[in-house]
Amino acid sequence: MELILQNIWVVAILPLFSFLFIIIGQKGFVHLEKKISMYLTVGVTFLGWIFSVFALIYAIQNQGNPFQENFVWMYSGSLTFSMGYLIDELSSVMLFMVTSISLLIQIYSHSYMKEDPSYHRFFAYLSFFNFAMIGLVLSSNLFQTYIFWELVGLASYLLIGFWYKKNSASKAAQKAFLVNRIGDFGLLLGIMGFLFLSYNFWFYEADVLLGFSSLKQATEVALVSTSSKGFFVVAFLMFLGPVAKSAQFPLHVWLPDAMEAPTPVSALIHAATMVAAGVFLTARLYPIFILSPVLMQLIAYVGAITALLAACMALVQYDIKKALAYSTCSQLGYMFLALGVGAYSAGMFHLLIHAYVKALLFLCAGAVIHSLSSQQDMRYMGGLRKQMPVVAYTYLIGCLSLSGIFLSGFSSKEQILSGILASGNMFLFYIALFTAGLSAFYIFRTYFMVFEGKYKGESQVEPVSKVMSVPLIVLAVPSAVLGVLLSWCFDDFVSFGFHTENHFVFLPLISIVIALFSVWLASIFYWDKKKLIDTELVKLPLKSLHRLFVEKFFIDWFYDKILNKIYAKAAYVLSKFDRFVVDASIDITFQSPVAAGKLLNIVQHKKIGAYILVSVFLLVLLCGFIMSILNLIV
Amino acid sequence: MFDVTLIHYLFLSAVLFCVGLLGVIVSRHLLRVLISVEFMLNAVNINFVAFSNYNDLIRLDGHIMAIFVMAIGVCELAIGLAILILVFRKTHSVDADGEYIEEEKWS
Amino acid sequence: MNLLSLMTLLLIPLVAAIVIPLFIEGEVAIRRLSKIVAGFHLIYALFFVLYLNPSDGAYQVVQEMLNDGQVWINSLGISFSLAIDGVSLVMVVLTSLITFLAIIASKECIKDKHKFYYSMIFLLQFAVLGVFLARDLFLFFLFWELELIPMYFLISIWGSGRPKYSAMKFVLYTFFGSLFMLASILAIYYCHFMKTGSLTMDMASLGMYNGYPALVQFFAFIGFFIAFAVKFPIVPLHSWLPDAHVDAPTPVSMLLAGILLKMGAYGLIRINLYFFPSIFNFFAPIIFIFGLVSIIYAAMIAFAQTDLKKLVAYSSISHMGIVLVGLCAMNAIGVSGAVAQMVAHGLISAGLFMMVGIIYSRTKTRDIEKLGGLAQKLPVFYYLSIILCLASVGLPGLVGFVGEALCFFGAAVSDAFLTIQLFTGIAFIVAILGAVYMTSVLKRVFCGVMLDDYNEIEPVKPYEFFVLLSLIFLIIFFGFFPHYLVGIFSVPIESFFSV
Repeated sequence: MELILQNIWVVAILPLFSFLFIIIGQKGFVHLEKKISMYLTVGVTFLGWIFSVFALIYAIQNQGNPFQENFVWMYSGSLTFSMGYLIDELSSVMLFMVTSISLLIQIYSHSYMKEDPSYHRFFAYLSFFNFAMIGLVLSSNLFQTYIFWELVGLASYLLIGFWYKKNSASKAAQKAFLVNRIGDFGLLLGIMGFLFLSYNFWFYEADVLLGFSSLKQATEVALVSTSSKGFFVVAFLMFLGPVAKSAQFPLHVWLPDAMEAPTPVSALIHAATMVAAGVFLTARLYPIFILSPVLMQLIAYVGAITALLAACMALVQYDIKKALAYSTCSQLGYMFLALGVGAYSAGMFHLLIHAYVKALLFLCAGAVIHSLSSQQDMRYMGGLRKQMPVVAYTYLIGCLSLSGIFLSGFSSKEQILSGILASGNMFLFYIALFTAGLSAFYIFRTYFMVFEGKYKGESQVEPVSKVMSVPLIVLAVPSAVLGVLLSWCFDDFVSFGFHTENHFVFLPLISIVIALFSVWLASIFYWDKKKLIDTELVKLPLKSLHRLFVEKFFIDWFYDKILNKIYAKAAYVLSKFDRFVVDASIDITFQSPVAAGKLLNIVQHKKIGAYILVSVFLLVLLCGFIMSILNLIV
Repeated sequence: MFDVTLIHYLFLSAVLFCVGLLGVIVSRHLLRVLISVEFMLNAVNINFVAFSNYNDLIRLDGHIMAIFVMAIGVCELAIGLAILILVFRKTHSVDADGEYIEEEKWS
Repeated sequence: MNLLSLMTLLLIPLVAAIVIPLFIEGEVAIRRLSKIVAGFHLIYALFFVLYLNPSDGAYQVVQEMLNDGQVWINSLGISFSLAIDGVSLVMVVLTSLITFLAIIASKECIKDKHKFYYSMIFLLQFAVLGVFLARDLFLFFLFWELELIPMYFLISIWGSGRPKYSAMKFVLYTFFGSLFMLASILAIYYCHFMKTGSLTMDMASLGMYNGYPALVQFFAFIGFFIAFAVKFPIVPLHSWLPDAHVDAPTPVSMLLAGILLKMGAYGLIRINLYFFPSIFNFFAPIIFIFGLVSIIYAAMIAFAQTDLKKLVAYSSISHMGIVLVGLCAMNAIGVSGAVAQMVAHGLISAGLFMMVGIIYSRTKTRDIEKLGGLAQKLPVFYYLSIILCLASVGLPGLVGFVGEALCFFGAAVSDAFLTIQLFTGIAFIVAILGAVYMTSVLKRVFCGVMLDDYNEIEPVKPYEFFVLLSLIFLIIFFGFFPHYLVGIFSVPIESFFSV
């Protein structure tokens, strides 16, 4: 046990080696046999999964007694930056979740990417992502977290732009990178500010700079050394990181575009693991955030707004992946809402459940897209339940779970709602309840449009391969039962000092009724068999609202204007200023002697003797002058 | 015979210098200009030696300086003559006031 | 360890610069000899890294050219003395490395006058090494000026566009700056003489002496600062840089960005910071604002550029601004960060110029609008470019992050002046602005639909890969193990601040 824990860094490092191995051997020894890179990646991840099981067992046995080890990465002056790993309840759960989902999705990708010419590159990137993500989960201090935080961003950037021939893909990759960069900017600035506030603590008392295990004491020091406003600013800057990474309002714009990536990537990075890293970091930084009540309010409201807006936008998407992406945004918003109102373990629980559910949904969508030869528009699908029953039923399990009808999602959503209720903020509670209804509606909308009714597309439906079906079935199990199994013990395991109690006994009933009602509503709009109302009829009276949803609340438009109009224009003006004012003034300065020389050219008549005569004469005069002055002085 | 004092040497040197200067000013032939410059250098040499002789008999700095100036004068003359020959080859004229300086603008 | 002599280190390039035009015939022979000499010099410089004991703070290796017990110009107190410590050692190794790579990169860019070209490269290396090694202020100035001569020829003879104009602009600009430096050198030299009665140009004794009148310190500081600001370059004294870069051939751009800009930063540390710490402290807010303006202004202009080389040149200005941020922190972390950033910028910008050179030699254009889809033809080159561009953005795991993080963390915990934390926050916006133009480059040059003109472009050649890969190897290596870099110079810097 001890041995495994001490060497758990292997879990993070091995994917890096497999990445290097594949990248270097891509053109040479790996090239011939595609399966080499798959086996390598999967094998390494499987090893990681075994390690994670042991880590989980350790964390269960030693609650409140985390295991950590650090080594010096760089020191300079009075700062010593270290790297290390920290195994506690939070990180062991995350590690288990990341490795298990990663493993399944890598197996799935083998089938999905089989025909792609860049098969090896894909697996190399997946390995690199694993390295970064596991490094992030295991990191023992904030500085290390930041490093891996950016590295997962890099992996996401590379994978979104995976098909670089597509203009839209490279555009989406750039957008994701830039938006995340804003978050990273805030995060590092926040870390620097926090370090500044608690510098004395880290310098004199702590052994690991910015280590998570002594974050609580450092926060108390920081709180003393500044006003509550200053502390809020620092905490807010840190919170920008999670906002961008977890695609929260107003930095959510990159996630739907990120669906340009291959579907397994969307499932792994942009649904289950990386986007959840924001929630994970918020949980890690909870000791800081909780001391700023304003920020906690802000977190809750940001979460609520995102949950609501993203759910609204998901209602009008026809691209199945985009609908799921907005759903991811919305569910992440739920988690932030939970964390914001103090329901710490409920948020983390939802993260865990949602990761499995959303991975399942995305993989199902991927299977559908794959067999319809890259058709993503739901208007050209329908009735696929008969051709691919496995996919349809696992998708249905995912839908039920996500909308909170009895399966896993029910228990996590339940905890969040009761947490909000316990905080006493009824406004947020109603938003959460309403959003729960919306999410049931939009997810069943996709189900009805894709799997029920009759097929409206043109391309041939190819059967789903076995390699793709197995991960679906495996993922369907936790999606269905994990919540029920863990609901009684999870908030003892991952908690932040206090528990949320369910005060309102009818809450489960209400939420299930709302979900069922929404499903019924979705069925009368989108299930061809039971269709009562034509969607066009509803669109007409709600035209402006519909437009607002389709145009994504004009947030993308707004960013686009800022970057391409205002910033580009300012940069253009500045470059002209540089050219015609700064540079030109220098030119003029250097040319002025030339001009002056031309002026003096008048007295030049090209008789050298005369020049010398004049200069000697003047020299003698000057000497005489100086001597006479010296005579006067002395 | 009267004593040859420092002032005599200085006078000689001044005359020689003026002759050289006049030569530089009035002559148009570059060779003549060079010779006149040598005149001026030698006038300076006389000054050096004279001062050294009268003021500083121990260190002989002036003598050393005179030899130094002579060496430099020789170098200068050698380079000057080389340039002169090149100029003559290129322009077939060694007129100091001649019109053969090309202008190069900086732009 | 008598084999390691600073004089040899300094004189190898000079000997090469003399031998090549006199005795070697034939392009291939010249290039081979140049590579061998530069490679040997690099290895020789690396031995100093092994030899130097980083726990010793002051000048660690000192050497003087002795002439019968007298120094070089005895009567003026000028000596031909060389010295090396961690900071200059890093710069020396960087100089050897970039020169070596630039010589390799010259294979196809340089088509005529080979003798003169390689001779000038070595003369440039000699001059730059002299600046980094000089212990004598006069010597420092001498080498500072000497560097102009080869650079003028390198730009004006082998350049393109308006090379004469750019070269002359570069020379005049630097000359303008050095006048102020000369005046400042004379001022402190004279003051030292008047106060202590000993004539000396020794940097250690001039630097340790603290009896200069306040006014002299003040103006001498400004004089030095102007000279170094031109080389740095700090906005608004930067306008020589884009022109020089655009017109210079690729290897010369690598040298210019890789090592010549570092001379300014090195001078700022070695003279302004070490000689006049109190004045530096006084000026820190103003210098910080200069840095801030450089960072933001250059980053914005870089975004508006359509000429790829100009874009990289402006990004270079922006990144050198970060060095100023680190220096203004006035603590060991920030100054270490500044040196690390200098090294990082040297590696990254050399790589970026190489990248632009490769693109230009294939497509015959540097206009971003006319490029596109190159990744389909040159996929491996595309990945290497991603690494370079992201290193420039400051991605963790790459060396650019080490410099940036140390500079900004140093400024964050600094107490140099009251509002430095606020300014640091503003300066950090470079993280976003840098990402904006660098990802745009990647997107517009490499991604998207490929133009038909580029169907037939030739693949990247082995020697170009060698240059890129060796730079990228160092970028990644120091990114993952920054301690091998920071450890070399952190001790001398810490010992300076602990006094």
